[in-house]
Amino acid sequence: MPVTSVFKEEEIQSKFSMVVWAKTFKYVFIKWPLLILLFVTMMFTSFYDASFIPSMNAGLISAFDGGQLTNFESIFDVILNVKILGIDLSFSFLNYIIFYVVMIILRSVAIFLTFFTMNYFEMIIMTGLRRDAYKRIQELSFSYFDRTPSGWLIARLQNDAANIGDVLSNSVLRIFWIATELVFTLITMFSYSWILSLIILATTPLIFFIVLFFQKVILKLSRIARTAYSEFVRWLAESISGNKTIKSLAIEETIYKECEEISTDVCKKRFKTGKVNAFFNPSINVLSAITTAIIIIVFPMINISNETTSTIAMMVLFLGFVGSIFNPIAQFAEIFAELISTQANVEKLFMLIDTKPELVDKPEVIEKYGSLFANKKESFEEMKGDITFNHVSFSYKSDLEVLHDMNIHITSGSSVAIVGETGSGKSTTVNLLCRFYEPTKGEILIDGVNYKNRSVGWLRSNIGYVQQTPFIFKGTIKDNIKYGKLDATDEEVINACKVVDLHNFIISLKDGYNTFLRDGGNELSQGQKQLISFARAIIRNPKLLILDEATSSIDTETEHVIQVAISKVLKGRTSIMIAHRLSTIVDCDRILVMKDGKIIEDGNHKTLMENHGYYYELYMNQFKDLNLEEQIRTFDEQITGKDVNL
Amino acid sequence: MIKDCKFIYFFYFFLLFLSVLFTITSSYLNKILIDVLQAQENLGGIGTPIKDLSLLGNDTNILTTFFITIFGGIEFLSSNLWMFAVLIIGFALIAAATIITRMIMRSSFMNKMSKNLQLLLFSHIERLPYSKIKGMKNGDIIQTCTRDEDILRRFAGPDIALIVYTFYIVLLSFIFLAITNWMIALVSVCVLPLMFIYSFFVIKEVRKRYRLTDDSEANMTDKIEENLASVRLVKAFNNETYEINSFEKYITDFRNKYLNWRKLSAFFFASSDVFVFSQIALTTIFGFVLCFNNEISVGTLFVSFTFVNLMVWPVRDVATVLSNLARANASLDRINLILDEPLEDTETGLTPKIKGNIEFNNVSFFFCDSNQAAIENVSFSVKEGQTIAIMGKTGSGKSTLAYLLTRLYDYTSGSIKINGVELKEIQKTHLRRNISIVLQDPFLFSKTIKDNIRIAKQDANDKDIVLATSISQIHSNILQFPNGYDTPVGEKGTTLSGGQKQRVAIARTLLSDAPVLIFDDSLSALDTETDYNIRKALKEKSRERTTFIITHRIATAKDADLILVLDNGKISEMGKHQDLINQEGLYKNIYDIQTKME
Repeated sequence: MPVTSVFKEEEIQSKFSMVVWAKTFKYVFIKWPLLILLFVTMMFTSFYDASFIPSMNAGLISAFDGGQLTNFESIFDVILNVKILGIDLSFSFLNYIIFYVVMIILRSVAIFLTFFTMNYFEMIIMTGLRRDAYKRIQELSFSYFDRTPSGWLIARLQNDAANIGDVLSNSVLRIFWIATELVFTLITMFSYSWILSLIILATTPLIFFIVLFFQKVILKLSRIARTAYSEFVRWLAESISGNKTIKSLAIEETIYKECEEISTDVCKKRFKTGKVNAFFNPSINVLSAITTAIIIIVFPMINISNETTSTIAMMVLFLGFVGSIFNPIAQFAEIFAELISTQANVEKLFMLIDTKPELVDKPEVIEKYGSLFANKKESFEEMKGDITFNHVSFSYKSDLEVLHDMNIHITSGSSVAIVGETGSGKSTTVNLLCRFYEPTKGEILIDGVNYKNRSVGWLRSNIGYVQQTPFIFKGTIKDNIKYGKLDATDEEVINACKVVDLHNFIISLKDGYNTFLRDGGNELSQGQKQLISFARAIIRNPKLLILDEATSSIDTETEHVIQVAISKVLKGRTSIMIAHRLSTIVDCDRILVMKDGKIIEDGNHKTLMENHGYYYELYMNQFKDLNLEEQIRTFDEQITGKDVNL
Repeated sequence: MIKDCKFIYFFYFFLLFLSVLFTITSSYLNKILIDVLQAQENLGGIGTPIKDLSLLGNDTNILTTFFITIFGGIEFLSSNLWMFAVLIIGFALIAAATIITRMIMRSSFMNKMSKNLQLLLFSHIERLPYSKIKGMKNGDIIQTCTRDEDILRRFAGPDIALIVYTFYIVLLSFIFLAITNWMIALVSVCVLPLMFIYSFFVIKEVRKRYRLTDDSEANMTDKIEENLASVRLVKAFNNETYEINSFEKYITDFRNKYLNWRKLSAFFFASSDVFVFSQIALTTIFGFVLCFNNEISVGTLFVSFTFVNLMVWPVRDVATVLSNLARANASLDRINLILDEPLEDTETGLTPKIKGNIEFNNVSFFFCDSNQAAIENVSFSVKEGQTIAIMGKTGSGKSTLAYLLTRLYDYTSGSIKINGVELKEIQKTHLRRNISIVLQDPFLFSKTIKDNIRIAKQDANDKDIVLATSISQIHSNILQFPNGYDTPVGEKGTTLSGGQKQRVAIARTLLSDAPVLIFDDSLSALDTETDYNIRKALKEKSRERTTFIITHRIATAKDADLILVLDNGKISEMGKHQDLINQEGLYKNIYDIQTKME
């Protein structure tokens, strides 16, 4: 049994690291033309917001300076002087309107392109990361999956990829947007009055740190609140599954009190976040009011009007600049806080993507037989199915040996069962045989050749494998069976189903072989699902059939059907069956009984039973746990039926 | 829910109103400031005192007069411009105070409401009849308690707040502008309704496409989960390339749907920005014309675009929220669906002293969706202190019979009397405290072993607990755990073996010291010796307890005072061990096999 270590979640780092983020940039830079387009459209939007609008307004208000408007008879004679980015422009009122309208339309186009491109990048990053991580998962060796819970992997592909996509496009790319906005605001500000600009600028560090502080605290608190909430959800799920127990113990009151406690905890923690959050915006508002106040006080002390811009227009402009400089600074701080909190996601995801597979073929083997993803089938030798374990030892962890110096020879075409208790080493034996792992000492020969001298692809293309819990892929019954041989014809599928006695059942279904199975094939019984797995294994016409506890999860009703199927599929090939439940292996040619990583008994059902050894003991223990009808049947078939003299 | 905090809710909206009022007033002060500055420019320079209100521009109105008067009059203000600075800070501070207060209040009542709803839902679910809850999917229940509750919470909190905020801001901006000049007021809101309607409908389509994208992403996650779950098969069949290719299909589907969604959402933002900026431009340009014609002052021109900026963005957001109303409604429906289910009545009924005299008389039971009896015409009687063994094949009705006794199911016809009182008349809580059952699949909570054992009897002392664990033969095992009785079990703790779990559950049941005890196949999960020791210890401790044992072991059944063999819900054999082994039937058959296999 593989040792599954408890997977430790790493501590979340709180220091920004450029190295970590650099790994993600290649997903962005491959689309560099789009990146340039994005920068252009962002620049235009920033220009519109930070320079164009304030300048246009200032131009309008300046027109009222010194009552000069009274000189014009019609409003269309008015000349408006607008100073954009230090450049003085003159418009008639009509041209002013036209210019305005054109700019609105251009801005809309720019904003469409900006948003869409940003989202496009989000998609590229997200799918790119998922694709790479998924590909890596296909390559990784078994030992990796023993160490890593699948929930952890799913979280990487699901949440981390999405988070990174979101943060890179909506935060990192947005930094440029904010930066241009800031630059345009600064240029516009300084082109009007440098004194007032400096006053506004003086307050910006304060804003940056206030926002950063709040964001950090809020992120931390909301993480605490989220954890409390997921604890509530976990508790809820548990209490709902334990409903029968709750009722029969009549402890509704006690459990309700627990619910109260735990949801009060959630409430409190959320409220704490809410409280801090409540201070966030108001403190920025107050700071911006103070800046405005300073401007109002300083304003009369200096003479700031120039030819194009009136004093009043200046006032209006700088009242507005307070807001337009605060916004980008606040966003900078927010993005910075977000980057820090997402950094852990990047680290974890790349930990997966950068993992090197441990079990790979030697270069000369790949040269001859091809890689895992591209087999050179033409150079595959035909397998006979003769297996030899030559002084094989194995340990999952360096200090703990689970197989000790094992020697077996299995002749081609025989059916062999390996039995033993959990931890005896029977699963490990099969793991080694399938080359999910390789022996730490000794060698495994197939047809007389060490299997490391041939490719993983060669070995596995000759193996038919049925695992303990039948697995149903989302898809039709036909797809599920063809999974064993992707290019199988319909005829081959039908033949495979006939062998395991599934054909009649399948054609009795409304959609026959095209019946769509979802949710792990809930519409089928466990036995039918296992029969599909059998069909899937034998459609490969394997030389080596491996049944890895294939009957353990089946109720006794269907065990009989499976038994018949097994006896049919075993014919003409070498088969290795691991069984926890002994009733399924009584027909095998040879039974190997394992204990503590060694084979301690070797024989068939009758001889081993009459021997009254360890096998007998295992068998009797299991018999006692059977329910009544099982006991009756088992006794008939396996004791009297096998002519066993107890 | 909302009723409980009606007062606080209304006070919250009042504060919201105040904060909007302060924001609007503060902006309006800028208008006065600009008008003052403009007047001073016209009079000869910034800082020139203004003697008369009429010099202050052409749209002097009640509001300007009011504000100028309360803040010291025009002459004072115009010669002390710093007053404006003080006022702006003052208003900002007051606004900040109201915002902080109302945000804290909102967080408080939102979270309390959420908690109350969670509690209400849970206490209801917990008290649904067993037959009802058995028919519901756990996943659905949890979804309703979490996602639907969350949607409602957001709706009652931020969403409603946004709607009300927008209403206030549009109303107050409009009133302030209308008092100043009704034409500029009308112009500054004229695009808003169009934008609202436009947004409302486009957002619906955006959301539809979003949902498709979301579904596609969920499919992708399913594929990832499937791949991870089938990793042995993928590798054993060397199907890595196939898996990568089929994942690519999910990626492509996701990509197409995502882009389809984002195209529209980007279009929505771009096109509604046209409304937003048109509204701003229209106000600016029309304001300029009014200003040119001396209808409004420069200050009004300024304040009108400040107000427009305050109004347009929330209006667009409200359209988004409202177009999402159907979702909140659906959530509310699902919550009500649960809350409308009638509860199991565990509180009314008789609470007689229960002893172990039990009489079944022609009892039958049908599951509500079946016309095949699960229990049919069962009659037998038991005296206090007796042990009854129940045997039978899978599906013969053994567990159902036990459930009838604890009223997890209520029998359809016939009568069950316990000490002469009809079972249906007895209060369920009382009954279940007195008839304890150890379930076949015992459930332990994620707590320490000790807390699990005393869950039904919180005040039990350590002596009682050790007594119970000694009877159930688990005491010495528990002491071997690193933290002994304080070892956490379940999802977050140590994993117990099936037999250990079963024995902890037996101890938990024994602790309540009920006069009637039922073992629903729970002893037979243990090895023969433990099974025997538990039964022996039980007999020694309490002679007057009535015990039902569902088992498939002859060794367990043979000492019973009465053995019932069930077949298809009917009693097929009944009697003592000696009687049954002398007649042909299931019991004798099993007896023969089990003696041979001993």
